[in-house]
Amino acid sequence: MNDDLRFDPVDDELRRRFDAQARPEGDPDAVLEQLRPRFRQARQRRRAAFTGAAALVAVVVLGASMALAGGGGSGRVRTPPATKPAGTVPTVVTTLPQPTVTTTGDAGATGGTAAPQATTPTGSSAPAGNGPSGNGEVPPPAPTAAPAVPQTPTYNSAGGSITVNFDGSSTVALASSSPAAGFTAAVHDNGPTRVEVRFSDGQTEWRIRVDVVNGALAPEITQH
Amino acid sequence: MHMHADPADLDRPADFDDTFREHYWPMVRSLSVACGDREAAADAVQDAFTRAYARWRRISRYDHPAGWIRHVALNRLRDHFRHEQRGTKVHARLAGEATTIVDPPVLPDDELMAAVRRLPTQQQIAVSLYYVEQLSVREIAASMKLSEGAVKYHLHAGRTALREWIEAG
Repeated sequence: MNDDLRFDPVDDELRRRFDAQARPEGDPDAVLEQLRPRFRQARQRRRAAFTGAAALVAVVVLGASMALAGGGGSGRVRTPPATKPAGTVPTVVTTLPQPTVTTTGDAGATGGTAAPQATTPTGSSAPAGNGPSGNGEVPPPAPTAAPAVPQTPTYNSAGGSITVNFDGSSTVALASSSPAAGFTAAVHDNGPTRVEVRFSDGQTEWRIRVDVVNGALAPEITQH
Repeated sequence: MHMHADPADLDRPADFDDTFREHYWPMVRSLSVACGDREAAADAVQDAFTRAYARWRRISRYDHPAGWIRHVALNRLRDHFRHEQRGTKVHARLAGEATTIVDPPVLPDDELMAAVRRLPTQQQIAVSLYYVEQLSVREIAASMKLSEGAVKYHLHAGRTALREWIEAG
């Protein structure tokens, strides 16, 4: 019992007096039964609080993981990075009305990433899989060590088409532009590392921009 | 001392109902002496058992589940009287009276209780747990979250004061 405190004769007297004060106590089982609903409520509240807290944590963790993943699955097609002037953030359109890219030259065109379909009427020596893919995916950029081969690819949009001269390594220039019916063409950039032509019918503007990135052409066709 | 009688029971979680039956009334009695208010003591002990029930899976595996419950009850009791004292101060201020802290009601016709009430709070609690609930110094230390040395100090001081009261009476 409590024999770890040195005994003092007054201890017995105090215990006797405290015991004399004791009131009759009821049946603890009766109290227990009275309290049972309160006990159950407390347990349910605690479980509910735990469940809510767990759900909140799950939502936070999920949100954080999605944010860390960079919001993948948005369906946007990104072209290879291009040197863009600050403040210019064009909208990348992934559903273009069948624009085509036509390349001439010996090497495969490594641009045309926004074009769902591409043709290579000439330049049959283009390596397989090095041209624009038919599903809008971005092919890997050509190795920078590849030999420079001049190209004259053509890029089409609903507003018109352009053909550029590319020296195969670093310089691009507009060869020709052809607006579609009802559209007018405006040359926004014309080399040496970017060509951009805007076709407008007063309501809709199509922009075809071609950048030289790592020794290859990186086209971007957008609607504004 | 309220511990498992059989050493083999030490590895077995305590049963809530058994713990309640064994400790409810002793706790109410000792806390009633400590605070002088049987109703407040019963409320505090019931609150403590309610909290314990909601967490019983964890608390049942403690060495002394009753110590945890008693500690919670003591805290509840302190909160209760802190709240009452704050309310008393507010009422006194609103009435334009001098602010005085009024002790909890003392059980009627009970000089011993009045003597206990004159002790410092820690001594009141230690004395109550020692003489009324007849806990060991170790159990009191666990319930009050104090060292055993501190408990012995409070018990010694409280016992000295009560002896003087007995001898004077």
